[in-house]
Amino acid sequence: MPGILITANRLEDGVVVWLATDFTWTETRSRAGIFDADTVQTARHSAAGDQTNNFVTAIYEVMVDGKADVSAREAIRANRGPTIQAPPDRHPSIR
Amino acid sequence: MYKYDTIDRDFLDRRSAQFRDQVARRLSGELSEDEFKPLRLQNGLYLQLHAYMLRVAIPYGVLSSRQLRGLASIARDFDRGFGHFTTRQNIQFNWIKLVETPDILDRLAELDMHAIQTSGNCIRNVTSDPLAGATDDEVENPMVWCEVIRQWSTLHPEFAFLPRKFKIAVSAGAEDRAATGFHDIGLRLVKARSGEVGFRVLVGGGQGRTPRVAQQLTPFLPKKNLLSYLEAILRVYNVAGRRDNIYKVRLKILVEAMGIEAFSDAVNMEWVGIRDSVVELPLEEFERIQRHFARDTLPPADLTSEILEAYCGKGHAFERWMRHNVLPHYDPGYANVCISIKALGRPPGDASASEMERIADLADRYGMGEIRFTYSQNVVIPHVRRDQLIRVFEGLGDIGLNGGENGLIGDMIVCPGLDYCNLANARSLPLADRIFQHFADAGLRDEIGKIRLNISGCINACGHHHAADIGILGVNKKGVENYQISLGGRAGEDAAVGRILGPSFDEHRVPDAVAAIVGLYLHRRKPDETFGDAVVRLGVDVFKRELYAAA
Repeated sequence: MPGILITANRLEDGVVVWLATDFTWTETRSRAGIFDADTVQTARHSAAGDQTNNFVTAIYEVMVDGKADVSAREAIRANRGPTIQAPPDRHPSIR
Repeated sequence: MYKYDTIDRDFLDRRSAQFRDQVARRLSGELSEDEFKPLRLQNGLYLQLHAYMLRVAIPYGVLSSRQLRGLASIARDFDRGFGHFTTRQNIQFNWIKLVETPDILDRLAELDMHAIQTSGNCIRNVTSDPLAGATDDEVENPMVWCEVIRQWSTLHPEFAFLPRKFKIAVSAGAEDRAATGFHDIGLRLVKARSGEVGFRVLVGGGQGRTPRVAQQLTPFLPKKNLLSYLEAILRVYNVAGRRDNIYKVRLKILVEAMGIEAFSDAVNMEWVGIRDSVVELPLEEFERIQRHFARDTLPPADLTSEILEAYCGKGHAFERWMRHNVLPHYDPGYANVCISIKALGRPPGDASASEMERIADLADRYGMGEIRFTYSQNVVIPHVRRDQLIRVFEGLGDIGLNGGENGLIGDMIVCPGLDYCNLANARSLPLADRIFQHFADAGLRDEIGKIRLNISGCINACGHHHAADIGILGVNKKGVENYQISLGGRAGEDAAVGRILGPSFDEHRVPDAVAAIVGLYLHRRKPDETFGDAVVRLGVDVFKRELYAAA
């Protein structure tokens, strides 16, 4: 279903969140609400209220076509981390 | 290195407490995001793609083993166990929680560290030569002047809200290892015929969407007048900088618009009123700072054959490392060891907490407990006895960081790109790995020799692609990551901006494109001619034709 996602960062820890259909915020991209022309105004209002209440910050909207994330940026964000492996914090072979 | 006193420590403690209060007020809603943003930026805290990012200042790239261990513990306790070394010789942590930031700043303060002026429209952390004070090709130790500038610029009330960020680099070597030509102000320590040492002052360099090589403002500035002269430049910029236009706001645009002569006149008019005034550094204060950088007495090191025996026994990897990563020291019995934070399969510039701890251990055991972060996102352990080099090599081997890649094609400067950055158009880190894989044969990397390949994920150019022999710039082509290639940039004494070759490539085709360019160089070079020199001799167009004929 094509529509609009509303995403933000949680204020206290910066974690990426998406607005769910029940207007709570989820850390899981697959649980994000996809809002259409009828529902998006209410969703925007709810999201803006959470920004005013200092729960989230840096809100923006993403157009989706109902399938994969359109941009590499949103795919990486949905992945909640980089696409490369960071160096591991352990080296058992250290003498 | 510079040691904090009670004044420095009290200052940091107060600063940390101030930010704790600001964070509490933000979380309670007393401060809005618009009010809070400049405050967090003044403490190095950005909001990035996945979370908050904290950039910690490493003044001119110098830190102690204790400080590096402290950074490792912060990476482990507050982040995901690693950090990213930046081209401005700082370190970044990627998953910082706003609520925990005051605790991190307290932890940093205990280490005599902070994140002040690593962000925002102020004078940023001053950068320098990673071999400062440990090489014999320098006029004098530039770290003394870096520290003077650090103290002068830290929370300088007149320059806390500049039109835009402002970067200063200081270099004193015959070779410019600090990219002074790409800074708002580049200071090169030079010796006049009379023997007097002063500064050659460059202004208006920078990268970003409008790359410019800095121009000479004065060929010789007496050392005693440094602070009044810097003050005069900053004042002219502070007043005349284009605050109305984000694309024209940097000093480089102002210098270009005014012309270097008119800019120089404006600086001199300002300078005349403050030269030799109380603005200058008092001699006793200079001497106090200078004492912190007096050369350590190095224990005598004999030039025995142990190193050669080890060399013969260790074969190719050690030989490569010796050739590329062991750098000359002013004492022939010693060396400066460059640790390549670049290897196949690892993101350039990223190091884990355990790797940082290991490097700190090696600096304690075989160096003087001091570490330098470099412009090229590597690490230097200065003052290592040559007869201990094999042990350092083996110690680094334990953590997979004994690659001899310094200055070679694998030694790429790479920004975090779209994997981390809110501004990026394309990923940089996976592309770096693709390119490294294409040149996986160490023999081939050696054959290509000295070359700088840099990657930026967007036009802001944090990966310094403009200043590279081969520069790669990530662009967004209808939602797809694409990469433009440029040629002929240089960061050193003869700084130059690279030239874009033509249409962009997708990520799969970039390694072949790089290979075509490098292949032409290998085919056409003269004996001992570096890639950069071959581009100058043959001209960029020759490479352009080759690239697009092959594509």
